[in-house]
Amino acid sequence: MAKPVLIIGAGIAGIQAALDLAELGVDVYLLDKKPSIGGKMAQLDKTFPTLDCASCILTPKMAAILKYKNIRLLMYSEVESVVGEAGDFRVRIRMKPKYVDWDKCTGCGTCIQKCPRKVPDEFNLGLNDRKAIYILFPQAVPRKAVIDAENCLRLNPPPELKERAKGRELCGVCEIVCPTKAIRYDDKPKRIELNVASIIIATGGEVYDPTRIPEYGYGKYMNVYTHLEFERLVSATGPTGGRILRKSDNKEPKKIAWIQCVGSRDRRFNHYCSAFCCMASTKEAILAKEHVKGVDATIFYMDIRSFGKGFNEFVERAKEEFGIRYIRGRVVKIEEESETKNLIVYYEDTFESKLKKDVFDMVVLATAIKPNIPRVIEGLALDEDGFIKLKDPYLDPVSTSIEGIYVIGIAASAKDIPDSVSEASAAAIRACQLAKGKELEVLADGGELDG
Amino acid sequence: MIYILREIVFIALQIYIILRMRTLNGLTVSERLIDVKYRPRILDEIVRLGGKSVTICYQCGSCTAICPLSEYFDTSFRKSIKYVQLGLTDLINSDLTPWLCYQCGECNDSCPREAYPGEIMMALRRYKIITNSIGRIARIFYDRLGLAVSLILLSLLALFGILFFIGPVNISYVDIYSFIPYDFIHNAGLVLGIIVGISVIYNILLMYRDFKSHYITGFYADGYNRGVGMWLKEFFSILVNEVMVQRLFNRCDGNKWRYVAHLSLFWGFTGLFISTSIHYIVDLSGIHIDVIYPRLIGIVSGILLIYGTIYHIYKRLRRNESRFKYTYASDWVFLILLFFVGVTGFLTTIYIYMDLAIATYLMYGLHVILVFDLLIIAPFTKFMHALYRPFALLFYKMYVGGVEYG
Repeated sequence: MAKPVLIIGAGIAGIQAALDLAELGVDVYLLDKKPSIGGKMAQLDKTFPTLDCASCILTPKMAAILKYKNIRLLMYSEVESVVGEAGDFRVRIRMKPKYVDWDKCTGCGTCIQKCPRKVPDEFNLGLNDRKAIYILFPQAVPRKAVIDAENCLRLNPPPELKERAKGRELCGVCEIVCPTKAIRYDDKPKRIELNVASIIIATGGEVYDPTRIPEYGYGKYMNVYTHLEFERLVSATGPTGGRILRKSDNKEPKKIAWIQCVGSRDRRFNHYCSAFCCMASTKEAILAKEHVKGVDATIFYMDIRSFGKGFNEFVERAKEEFGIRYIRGRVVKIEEESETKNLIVYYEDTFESKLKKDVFDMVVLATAIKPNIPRVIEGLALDEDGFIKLKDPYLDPVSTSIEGIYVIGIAASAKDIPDSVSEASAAAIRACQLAKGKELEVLADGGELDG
Repeated sequence: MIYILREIVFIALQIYIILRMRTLNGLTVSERLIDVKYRPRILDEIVRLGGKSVTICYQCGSCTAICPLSEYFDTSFRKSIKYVQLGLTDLINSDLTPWLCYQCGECNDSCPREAYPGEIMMALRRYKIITNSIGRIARIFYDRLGLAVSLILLSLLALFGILFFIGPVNISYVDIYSFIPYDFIHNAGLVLGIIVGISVIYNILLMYRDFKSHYITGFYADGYNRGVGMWLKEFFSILVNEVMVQRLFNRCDGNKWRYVAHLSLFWGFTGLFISTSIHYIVDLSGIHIDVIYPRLIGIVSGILLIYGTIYHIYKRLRRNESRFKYTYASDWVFLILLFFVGVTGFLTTIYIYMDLAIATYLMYGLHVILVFDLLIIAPFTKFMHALYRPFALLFYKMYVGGVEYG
């Protein structure tokens, strides 16, 4: 009898690992802190280097998760503690209250229409609003609503309204309109304990906060965006329905600049290269060219790292077919024109050795990625950049310092989707060996490479 | 005979053509790169001289873009660093950029590699001082042991000089000239002054030669000669704006206190030089003026000098601003010598007025030894930027044909 495997994080890497394990007949717990699986990839519009639509690749995989009987989803949950050893981990999990009975919820969305409370939508990075009861995104799996207790009028009423209500319960609209009576205002957090053979960490990463880099004025200037924000902007499911519009005047920009290595390869912030930004910027520049007619797209770079399969051809295509300008030089500061809210960038064109300044309507920062580390796992070694340390980066690239715990995706190092997916499959087979009770033979230990 | 004449005409024509070709326009500097010498070991030397992080620079151009000078001058810090990385000695020698830099520290703060471009510029200056000195003698002062030994030897030399010339000392009342004879101090000063002066002129001429030899277009970027009048006009404009008032320094830095301290250091130094010279010239020419005038200038300048040195020593000790973070041994020596020259000179004057004979003589002896050290090492230390910079500015402005910075 195979023991189950826990996968922390249900991004593309976690999904792929879950599917592979399920296919091998292993029970899988797929856990995520968000109410839907999908992770960062769900927020992307297109993928490089083929310009395939990200949702079109991801959604079938997400739907496939639901087909397998041996995959159990633990949505809106967090790991509290991990004890034990390889083959026998005991994991305590805290399931946050959803305030909605997911067995009854059909995802019809009536409650969302009627909810009076609006808050910034974190899926769209605050570019538009969602309701206090929400489904994370339209293609969400499972497509169920949750109530954001912090912003709900009923669960956490603002003090002034509470005073006027004089003890009566406020709002409660969703309960009234719900056709299946799925709303549970008295929902409490639940704790469960799992016994698993192996754990796969697929927690991914977050965009590095560019407000720490004051010279680019992110947060201060309206038309400075991060990669992920731009990605939502061009996405058809995004806040503007796929139109690239500036925050300041809701007009299409005529000149857009991408700035590479914002916070990465920068000794003041992060030492490492974030690996995907060169290609992501190239892709976004192409998307901008496709979305806005006659837009001028410029990428400021120091080195273009197009090392993957078909990546270099993609960059060449961007230059020749789409006419995207690549300028070698780091933008050192950005100033905002007070009236037009256009952005003046200062840089040295290192091919001409000249100080230049140029005005852009929009600036997109290729911000670094920082890993999400599950701090609750004791003894998990990290490397100097804050990623999870690999046992052997050459011959055992998915194992962590703890036997039986594997790491895939951005939690291990900055990488792109193809690399994350291949790691996921690698970790799945390793976890499967443990789950089926086989003695683990680590190639790295016995693998002598002499003749 | 005709044959020889024809040959001469031919050779003259060839020389003329070659000369004309050298002044042809339209050729870029990079074409000149074909025949530059390169010496990769220069990298180690720059690292040793304080440009520790020159190898980690990835040539992004942030330093050029943030540099306040880039607005006025067509210079590129990044390029200067690249020359070092590639070991292009000719280009390093002809590069004026390190002399134009005012160490405002903006590049240090915005460098993504934390390579401290400003410190690399300082290392380049030291390198230039060494290579431009006669027989590369300055390298002694850029080695901790050499610096210490040479300072001790110089001090001992001065001490023995004083002991050798010491007259019948009058200890009942202060009579400086009974301690060190009048002629000795003035003649020694004159000789030292001439040595320093020759060294400085030689260095400036070398800088001129290197700068000129770099550009295939000839000395002037646009190929038009600029007359003596323009040279003089620019020279005096620089003398007033950049040496006396240091407008660009103020503009570059934005830190009023550093500007004031630097200016007071400059005027303290200059004022002391002037007051000493007045004393000497007056005595030489036989005109009698009251000793109080040069002494008054001396006192005021001394206060300025001490203020300026204290500010810089304090900042360099605190190291909390990127531009004051790293101080090279020779810089410390120059700064501390300046400070103690100011202090001992001041105390000497006080003791003279208090009529403390022994104290005066001891302090004065110390003062003379320190001044001797300072003057000998001046052409090989940071002091030289006071002369290199104005001329670098002059050459650069003449090359471009006037730089406007209102």
